[in-house]
Amino acid sequence: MEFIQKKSMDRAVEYFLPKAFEMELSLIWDRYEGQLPECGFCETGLSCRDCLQGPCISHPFRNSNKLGVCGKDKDTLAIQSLLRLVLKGSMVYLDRLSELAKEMESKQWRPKNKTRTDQNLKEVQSFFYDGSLIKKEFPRNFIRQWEELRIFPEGMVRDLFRASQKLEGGLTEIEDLLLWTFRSAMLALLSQRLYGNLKKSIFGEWGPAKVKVNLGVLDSSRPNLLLYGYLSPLLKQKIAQEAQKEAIQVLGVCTDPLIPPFTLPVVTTYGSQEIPLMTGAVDLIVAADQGVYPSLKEVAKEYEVPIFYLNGLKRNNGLRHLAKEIIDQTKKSYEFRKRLPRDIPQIKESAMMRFSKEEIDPKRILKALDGGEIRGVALLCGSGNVKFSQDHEMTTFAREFLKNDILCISTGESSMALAKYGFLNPDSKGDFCGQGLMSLLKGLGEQVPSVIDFEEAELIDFILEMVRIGKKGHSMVACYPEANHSSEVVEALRMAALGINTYFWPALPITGSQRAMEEISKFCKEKFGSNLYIPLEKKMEARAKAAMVFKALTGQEGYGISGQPWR
Amino acid sequence: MRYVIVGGSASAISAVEAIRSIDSESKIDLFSDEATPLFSRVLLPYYIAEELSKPLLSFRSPDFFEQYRVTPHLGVRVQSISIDSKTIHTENGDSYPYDKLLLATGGNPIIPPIEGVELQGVFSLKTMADAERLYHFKAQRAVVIGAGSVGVESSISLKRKGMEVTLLEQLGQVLPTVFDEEAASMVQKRIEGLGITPILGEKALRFEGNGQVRKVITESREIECDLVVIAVGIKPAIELAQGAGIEIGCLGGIRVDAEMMTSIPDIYASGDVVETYDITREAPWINAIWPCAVEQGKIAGFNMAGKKTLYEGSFRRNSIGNFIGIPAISMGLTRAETCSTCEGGEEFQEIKRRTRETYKKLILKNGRLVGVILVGQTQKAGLYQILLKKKIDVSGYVPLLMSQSLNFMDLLPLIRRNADRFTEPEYKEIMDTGL
Amino acid sequence: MVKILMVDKRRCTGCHQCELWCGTEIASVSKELYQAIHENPQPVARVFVEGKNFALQCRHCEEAPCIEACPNGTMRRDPETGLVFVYEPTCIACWMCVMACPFGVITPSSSLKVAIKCDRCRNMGYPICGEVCPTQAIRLEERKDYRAKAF
Repeated sequence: MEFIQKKSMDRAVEYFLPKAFEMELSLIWDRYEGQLPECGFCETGLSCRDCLQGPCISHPFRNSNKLGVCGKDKDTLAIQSLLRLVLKGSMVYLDRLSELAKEMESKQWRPKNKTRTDQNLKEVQSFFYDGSLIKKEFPRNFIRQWEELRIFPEGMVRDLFRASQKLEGGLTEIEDLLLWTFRSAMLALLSQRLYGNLKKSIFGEWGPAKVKVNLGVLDSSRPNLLLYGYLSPLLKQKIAQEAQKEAIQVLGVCTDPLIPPFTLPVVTTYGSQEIPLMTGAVDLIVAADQGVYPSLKEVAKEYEVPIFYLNGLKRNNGLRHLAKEIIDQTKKSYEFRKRLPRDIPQIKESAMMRFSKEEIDPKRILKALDGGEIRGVALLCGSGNVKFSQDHEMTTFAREFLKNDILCISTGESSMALAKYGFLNPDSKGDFCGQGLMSLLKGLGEQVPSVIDFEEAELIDFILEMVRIGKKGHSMVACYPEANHSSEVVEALRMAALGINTYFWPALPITGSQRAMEEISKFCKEKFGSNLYIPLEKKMEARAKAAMVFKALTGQEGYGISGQPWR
Repeated sequence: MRYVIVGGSASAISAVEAIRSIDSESKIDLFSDEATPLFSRVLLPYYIAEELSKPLLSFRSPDFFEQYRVTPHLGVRVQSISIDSKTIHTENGDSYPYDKLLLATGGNPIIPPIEGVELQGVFSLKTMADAERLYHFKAQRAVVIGAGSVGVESSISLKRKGMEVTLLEQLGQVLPTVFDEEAASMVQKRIEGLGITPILGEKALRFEGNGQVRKVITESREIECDLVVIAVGIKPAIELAQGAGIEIGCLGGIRVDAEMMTSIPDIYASGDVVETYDITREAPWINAIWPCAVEQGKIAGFNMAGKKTLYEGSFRRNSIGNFIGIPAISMGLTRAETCSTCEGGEEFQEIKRRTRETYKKLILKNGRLVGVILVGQTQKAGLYQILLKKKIDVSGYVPLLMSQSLNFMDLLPLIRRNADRFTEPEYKEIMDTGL
Repeated sequence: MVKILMVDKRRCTGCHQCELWCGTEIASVSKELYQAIHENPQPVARVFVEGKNFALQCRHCEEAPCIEACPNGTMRRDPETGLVFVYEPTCIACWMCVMACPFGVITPSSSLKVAIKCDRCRNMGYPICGEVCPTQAIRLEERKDYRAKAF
């Protein structure tokens, strides 16, 4: 670790950095430094590896290689880079939905609400092939608008096949590529929605719950089983049930901590997922695909932590069997590992999570907006990105917004990141919130913290309701201060499609083409009435970014981006 | 040691720098009939076009003479040389002894004996004074006689000053010594595009006017004008050398050996005034161009200061700058048949390629590059020049040399094969690393 | 002793990053990749990835033909570092240096009306192409005394 940049805002993480240095352990920050400087062509979306005649680039400073071998120009390259990301990102949601539906169709699980589950499964089937049954899930005006634009899915399977062919060549107009990009993003929106409904039918409705966060949650006197990444909620529930019998603590990283009736403590967040292994207190890890670093393998080897591979195709036992196997291995591993030293920094926070529009009434929020109690609503989304000091941008945004009476809502990884600093602790409200916001939050209930966490599907519900009864989107923005995954790109486009002004850092890989940037911002403005901010300023300070968003949100300045999002 | 240098332009200054790189002590006296020191003659058209102000015409900093401890005698004409007493005599009656003398007296514009050439408004362009007069002369219509480099550039300058310009050339193309017909036609199109009217294949028979020039008469027409610029070439200024009995070559320039020494010991000559061995023609030639003047001045300077250095020979090179809007570079011969001095048994080869915006022609003599013309795409011109200069056999490399994507690395195998001729550290370095 | 950029052909992968960074850090007005890409006139990179995998820049020749060819002293040598550079205010775009450069690394820029070449980042202290090269194929080294060897 040579690069003089603060690695993380998290004290628990910082505690382990000198140790990693001494051990010559390569962590994400070392690897990032090793990759610098990054390939500028890929960064700006001016490269292509779609066929074996390449790889090709469009050189901004030479005239001899402006076009790829097949003749793709920089505009097509840039939009295709975006489409490729969006396709990949949409798959994340489609995969979750189809896996959960498949498990339920096996009839091995008894859902809380059988009738609704069956109805949901029918909807999922419809979504896969024609899409007619899902229209009732969204307000009619949205459906009409999306259908007019021809971005409303006509059957997921066909849409995916068609969209993927847009990467294969041919003569396509930029706008058509954009339509396919947004249609792919809509696929993700719909699957998120269906997944939310299905989960609710299976597990039942549940309200806010308390979750413990950060390295201090590891138990020095019990076996700790650590789940990494997205795992089937059915499997997680099973693991948690089995673990309870054996007095094993199940914890999560980058995974949904709320599995009714269980809440899993959260050990750390995305950027620092290697760190928990360094405590010596993790006895087994179960790693999924989404959101997990392959580097865990090396760190686990160093600390003699066994890994349980889920593998998908190699293993064909049911989830129940899998859960038992995992618990058995954790026990075995603990027998050996309990003699090893455990170094757990006593740093932890508590977080109130999983609100919905039941507790956070959109009418009440709109009233607070009209009455000037609060000055806007900001959605803080996205996981971490090593390009920024871990959580620095996210916490700066939250701090600046809360201070200025902006209601902050977060979801998924961004909630976990904010939770580490007490933003989700109802008792810390006084540290962050301005007076107006404070009184609104108090009015919503004592258990409501400074930043309000929603489940993803619930958040969409909330947004739709806000848009339905309120003035269009303009007191609401979505911010992705340190985004990372392709799924977050999809989310951001989805936000724009819902008519919400959206800020996204770091820059999407389309900055290499002025035309692509113009087209995409024009598209959002004309079709959805929203702005998608694409930063061209790499070195902007976090507080300046927050101030920029704040000014736009409160109408002191225009979005500064209409028509020209890059300046 | 006492050095005397007659001349104050490229060759003379280059000689001063060469001498000082070896001998930092001895006295150097420099005589120039130009009162303005250190200006670049080739930039005079830029001055007339108001592209460059006067200070920007200098090719060395104003303190050059102090820095190199040279005693300048500016605006002083050297009248004669006493060879026995090793002394020069100026028009002011002063005498200066020398141990080593350099004649870098340059050339004088050729003024053809055309009737009416003495009329007011008829100019040539060689000295700063010429440029000043032309710069301040008020005229509406100009005729430039001669479409060589100076003629073309002067035409553009006058056009930029708002005049109506006719360019009269007695041969059938513009820039006849620089380009072949094809390249010339591309350049001509640009010249016409700038609003200049070229008239080719016609000769000025006389100038008419009452005291002030009003008309140029050719075989077939009368061109009304109030300004004439004569740019039909320059001839070596050999008066001083001739008076001293120094041998003059058959082409009218001072004859020098490979050390740039004249027929008289301790008297050297360089620049536009000399005729040298031309490596593309394999015969003596007067290559009155800037880079040759600099090279020769340097060789003369080294030899005068006692470091024996041999001149490899000269060759013509011209670059048409951004002035006309299309880059064009030409070096060596322009067409195989122009080489009148060639002996029998030699095989010439011309390879041409024309695209919409570019033209490239190579002339090979027994496999060696002796002529190159590039129009439109010129960035790699230096690669051809070094092959031409080093007399490399390129016969196996013609497809590469004709390719649009020619680059140094692709030539490296050829350079490696001729490594003994590429002794410069820069080549050694590249041959050392890399492969 | 003049330092010189050496390029290791075995390490050069032809990734063009040197061109990209040179074009951004040295040639552009904004110095930011995202903006430099859109600048007009297009920034001119001073380094050339040639023959598939060799990053070539000005060699800063000890006897520089470009300096000799320049008719008004625009092509100069920095007496302290020995680096050859174009003093842009006086460049008249005559392309005599382009014609003289035996490596073909001087770009005649018609739009900017100046000759453009590598000055080895003389105002920055370190050459950007070497700094960003992902395989360290471009390195700064002392120039060997080849002349001494020759004599």
